[in-house]
Amino acid sequence: MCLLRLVVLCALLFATCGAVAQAEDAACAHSPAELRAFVYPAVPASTLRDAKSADYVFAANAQCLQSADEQRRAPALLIRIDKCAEPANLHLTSISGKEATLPARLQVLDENFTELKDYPFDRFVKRGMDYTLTLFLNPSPQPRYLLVMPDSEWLGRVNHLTAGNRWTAFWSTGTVMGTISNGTEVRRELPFGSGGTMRIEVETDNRVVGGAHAH
Amino acid sequence: MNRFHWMSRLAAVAVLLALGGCVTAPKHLAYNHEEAASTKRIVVLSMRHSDIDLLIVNNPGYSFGLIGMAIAEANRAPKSHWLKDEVARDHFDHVVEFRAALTAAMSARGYELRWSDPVQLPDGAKDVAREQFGLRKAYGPVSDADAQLDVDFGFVGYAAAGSTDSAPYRPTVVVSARLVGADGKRVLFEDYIVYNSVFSFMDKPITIDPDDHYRYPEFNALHDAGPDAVKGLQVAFRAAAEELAKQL
Repeated sequence: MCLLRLVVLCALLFATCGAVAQAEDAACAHSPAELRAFVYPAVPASTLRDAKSADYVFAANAQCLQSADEQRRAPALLIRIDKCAEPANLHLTSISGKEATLPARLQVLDENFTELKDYPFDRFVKRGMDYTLTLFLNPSPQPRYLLVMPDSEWLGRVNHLTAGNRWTAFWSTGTVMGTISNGTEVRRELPFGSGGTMRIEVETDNRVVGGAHAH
Repeated sequence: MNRFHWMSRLAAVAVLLALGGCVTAPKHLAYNHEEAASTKRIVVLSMRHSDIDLLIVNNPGYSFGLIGMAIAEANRAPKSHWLKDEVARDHFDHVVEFRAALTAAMSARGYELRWSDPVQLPDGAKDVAREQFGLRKAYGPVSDADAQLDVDFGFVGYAAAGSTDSAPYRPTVVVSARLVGADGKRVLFEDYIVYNSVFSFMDKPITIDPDDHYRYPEFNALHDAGPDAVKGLQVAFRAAAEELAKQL
């Protein structure tokens, strides 16, 4: 009787484990095509150059993606860039969050999710605690996709910043008053991880000496 | 003459700090390698004059009008002179250092740099019209290069964020750069780089974290470091040159 109960219990356990594994498997996409894509521009614009900047909070918007060799799972953010009739320069900024900086690895995919370009995090430029990259997009009648994932080479490292900070205080003697300013050095550290925000904005400068913005 | 010189510089620093975010900094225009694949020979235009200096960026003395500024300057000037003497004693030329490092780093990326003569204008020499960060307002065409690189130093030397021990002196280099086409019209690249991001009003420059070995909590520590302090400047200029080359 006990043996029978044990067998039933094990069978239930295996069935439950299998179901959980299947559910996890189902929740993790096997290719970028299975991911839900966010659309940029988020607000419709007549051309890509008129698009407003958009922020994508990585932890809230990333979905699980399994690597092609099925060895690794990682959070991934998929952004669809609508077709553009003229060249456009996209500025991408990995904005540090309170708990982490996203070491973004960016892949540009075509409409069939075939990789066109790959930008490891080394290609980003450090600006304070944030990192930026400019993408030069050629005109395309088809939409393209940006796949943003943490660059595994950078996970476990730390984002450091040493910077000056100015403070100003008000003072008064009762009859005379004024302000005094001084500065301190601020040191910040954040781990590289799956946090922060990815910002996309379109370069509006016309790149002519002495020229202003295109708008 | 000297008094006028430092008063005018002091006024310039004060105005710069007061203006804060109003100062027009170089834009962040990245280089498109595919579009400019044929750009290999680059002429580097003459830089405006620059001197190694020493600065407490948010000196509280600046809060007390002209008298406070004068007191702050009276405190700063001898320290700045000491640093210049130390640099001269070590035969350290920041322009030579930067030029060598940038030439090497650009060569490693397949570029051939040709530096204009003079590399840097002498102090007081007649100069072309420039923007607030020292880059030229206009460029002429060139026929013997694929592009023109306009490089200019902002503050270079040792800077501290404030007057307390929590704001140490560190080697500091501010470099602005703009690469324009041979026609002098099209901007191929524009940005600015700060080694030791001590100027809080600067809008998102490319930042290089300073080497902690060259951190001096007070002027006496910097003074005692002597030649090591000059080595810190060398490290900073090399890092700035390599970062600039990395952008191109």
